[in-house]
Amino acid sequence: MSTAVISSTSAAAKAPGKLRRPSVPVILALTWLVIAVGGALLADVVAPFDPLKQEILQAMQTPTPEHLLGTDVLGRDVLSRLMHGAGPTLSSVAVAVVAYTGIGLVLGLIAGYSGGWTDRAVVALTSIVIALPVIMVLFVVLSVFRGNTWLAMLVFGVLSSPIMTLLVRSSAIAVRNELFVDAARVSGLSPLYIVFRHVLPRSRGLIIVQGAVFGATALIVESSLSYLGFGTVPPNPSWGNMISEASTVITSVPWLLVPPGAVIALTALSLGVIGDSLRDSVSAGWSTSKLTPSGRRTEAPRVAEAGTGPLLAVRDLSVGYHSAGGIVPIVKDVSFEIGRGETLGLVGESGSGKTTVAFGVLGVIGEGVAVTGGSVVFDGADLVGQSDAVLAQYRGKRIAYIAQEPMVALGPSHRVGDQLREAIELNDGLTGEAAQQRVIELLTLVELRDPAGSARKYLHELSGGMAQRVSIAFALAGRPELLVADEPTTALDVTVQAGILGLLMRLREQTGMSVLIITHDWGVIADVCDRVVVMYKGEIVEQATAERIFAEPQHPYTQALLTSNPHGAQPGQDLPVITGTFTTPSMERAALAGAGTGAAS
Amino acid sequence: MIRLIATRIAVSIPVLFIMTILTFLLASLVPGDAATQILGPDATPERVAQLNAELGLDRPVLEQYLDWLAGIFRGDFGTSLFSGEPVSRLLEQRFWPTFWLATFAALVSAIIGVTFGVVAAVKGGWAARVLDGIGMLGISLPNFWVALLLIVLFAGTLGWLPAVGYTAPEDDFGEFLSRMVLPVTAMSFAGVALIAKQTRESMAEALSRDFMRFLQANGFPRRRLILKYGLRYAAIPVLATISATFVNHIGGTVTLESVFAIPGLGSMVARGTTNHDLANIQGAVLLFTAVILLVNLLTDIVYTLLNPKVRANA
Ligand SMILES: Nc1ncnc2c1ncn2[C@@H]1O[C@H](COP(=O)(O)OP(=O)(O)OP(=O)(O)O)[C@@H](O)[C@H]1O
Ligand SMILES: [Mg+2]
Repeated sequence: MSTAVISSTSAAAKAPGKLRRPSVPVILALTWLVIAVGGALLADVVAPFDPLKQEILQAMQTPTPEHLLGTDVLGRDVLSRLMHGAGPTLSSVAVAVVAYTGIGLVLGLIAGYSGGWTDRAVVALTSIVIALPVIMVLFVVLSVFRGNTWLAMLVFGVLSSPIMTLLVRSSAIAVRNELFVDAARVSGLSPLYIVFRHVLPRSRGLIIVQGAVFGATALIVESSLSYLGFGTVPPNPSWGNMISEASTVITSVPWLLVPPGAVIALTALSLGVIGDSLRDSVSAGWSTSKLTPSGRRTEAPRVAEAGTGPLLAVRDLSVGYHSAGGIVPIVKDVSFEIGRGETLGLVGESGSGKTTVAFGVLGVIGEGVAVTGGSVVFDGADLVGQSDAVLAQYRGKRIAYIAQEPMVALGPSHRVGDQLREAIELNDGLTGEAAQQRVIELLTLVELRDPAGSARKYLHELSGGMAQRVSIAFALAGRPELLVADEPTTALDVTVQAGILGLLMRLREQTGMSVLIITHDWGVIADVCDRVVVMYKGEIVEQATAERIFAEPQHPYTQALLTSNPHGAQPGQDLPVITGTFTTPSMERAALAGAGTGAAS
Repeated sequence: MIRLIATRIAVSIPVLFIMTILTFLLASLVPGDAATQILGPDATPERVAQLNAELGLDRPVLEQYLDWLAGIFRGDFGTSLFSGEPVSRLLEQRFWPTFWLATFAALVSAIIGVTFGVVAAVKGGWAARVLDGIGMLGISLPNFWVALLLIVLFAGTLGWLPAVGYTAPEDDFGEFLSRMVLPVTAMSFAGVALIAKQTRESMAEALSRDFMRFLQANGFPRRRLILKYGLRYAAIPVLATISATFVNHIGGTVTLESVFAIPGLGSMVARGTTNHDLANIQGAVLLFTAVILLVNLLTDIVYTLLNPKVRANA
């Protein structure tokens, strides 16, 4: 059931080209565009009055049943003028959009598909045209070819087209680099056929989005030109010159501003809404925040006296993520303890929920994920759902964290030494020179060859191994009692893995801290762990001391894991993927309950 | 970094030349029009020819162009066909109103836009949706229409602010500010919308990076992560949008200065276009182009300063 939900959401996310059913705003936007274009096309038939017919006696009326949108300065019917004005306005916008998409499409496809010098020439041309001040060119054009808005809008479309060209080009390059296009080319299909059959359909969404958004811009530009008097010449109406006429009487009848302005705004808005909704369905969607919002509880309830029980006691911890169909569990009823100075290993195949358990313990599960039950008791205080203010006493100070991917663990735009110093100031209370000294001390502690030099570097200038050492220094900054290390060596080069692991173990000896280490690697378990927790499909299937796990594994899943990778396996070897299904505790309970009801009936 | 600036200048120079050639080429397509414009349609052909000769408009286009170009290097942009004033003096006088308008509008857009964007990114949910709606509206409203509505409301109905006109800041600073409020507001609408949207997207992207979680887990407060690390991460795309907004604003001055009767370069372009006063347009357009290129250059420099990866390579 839950897997069905997961696969259906990921399928939806992976089919970007497919359009969803239109939302209400999109339907409204389309309706408005149909009305506007329809009104323009049928103006001669449906407009209630002649747009030029003046009735001075009825001038400057607000809406009446006869004149639905009122009358202008000369007593002409505003609605009829709007309908007749739509033609010139919308057609010159269409000219701009056609030029924009047409040129962008042709140049973009040619450049992206053929590559080489053609591509370079097109890119060079676009980079110059993009730098031209388009609006200014329009005024030069209009000063020479007076009143020729069509030409001006054509120029506007042409000069704006580099944006479209570059977009189409990059998507054409992306498609070209895909295998099936290569295959098509090798099998001798004509480039034109390949472009139409394979490249164009994939870029379609992008082209429509960009075209719609540009249409909105072109409409605003056209109305500005017409407002300034460079468009349709009065008495003939256009949306822009109607605003300009209305502006002469704004003190007496401000109402006259409303109809033409609202029509322009509605049309631009509709184009924008359509473009935006398409963009959302084209792009992969929202990125979810990794920052966990503050909980509501402002006081950590004492479950036990501090300093008495185990350092960490996780009880029935359940975590799930929010989806359209409700909360999908990722981790179910997980319970374990870590004693002071103890190292606990957490093993399980990929996707079994190990990282999620770690995040639950650290209180950093991120947005869209929630702890749905259970408790995380650290030194006698339950941390689940606590506010940032409470967690500030623990995060970094008593519990620290090392991530699986050291190359993305720190901020990319600040020097690592500066960030480390910030951690020291926050978690160790040192400031100024003392903090700076501690930076070097910590970087020396993690055995970096050039501590002072490394401190001045940015993350991207470090190797994976060096970055992980800096991460470890980070975690040590607050002198924590518990270190959570999520696969600290998995992402690293095999040659440096042993070095990092050895460092961690030496630091554990020196500081006496407890460690929760997540790993794929039985070798790591054998080397460093006192006890082991085995996870499978979000649940704990077995926990025992390290010796016992290797000697007498109880659960069939553990046995399968071990037989395929027996005791003494080489460190650095990943857990194999175990085929076949195993029962988890929750399945057993369900089966028992089923048997119980079966027996009762 | 030097290389990047060099590339940018290498693109800028052809752009300036293209603009000068463009204005001249286009003008040459309709020869003699200027004299007819000045003298009116009833003037005799002899009189038109004479005036053309006086203005130097009967010479080959290339010669006129080179002359004009040489003049620019001496700071001489020619003479306005209508007022007879030197264009360079007009440009000098009209630069500042436009500068204040575009700069204030860019500042206001940046401050409000970034604030909105950060709030929406952090709050998510309905705040983000409301902001998206407002943003869409901001882009869809023609700025001159917003300007007229603002005049009706704040100058007309409420009578709080002067409707149109301009006072130089050195003459009366209070008056200058009160006359700037409405044009700057009208101009900032679209800018706020665009910048807020970009900030929201870039901040959302920043907050979805793994390092946010790592730093939070190691004791960095949420607020600091958002305001220091998030903003820093989002800075480059947001800066690009702010710079693009400033460039848009320069185009927008043409309409808004006309609405508010501000004696700047924008209204000079608008009037020049109506009057077919090519010398004026050429001067103003060239100055605008130079300013835009300068803004792009500055943006590029700030980029490299902000981006450690580029900075290291340059
Ligand atoms: N925010 C989320 N939204 C949807 N699914 C999620 C989310 N977070 C985790 N999951 C899913 O929960 C499951 C457990 O993920 P988790 O990262 O905890 O596994 P893991 O045991 O650490 O795996 P690995 O060994 O690959 O790191 C995965 O199937 C993952 O796709
Ligand atoms: Mg994991």
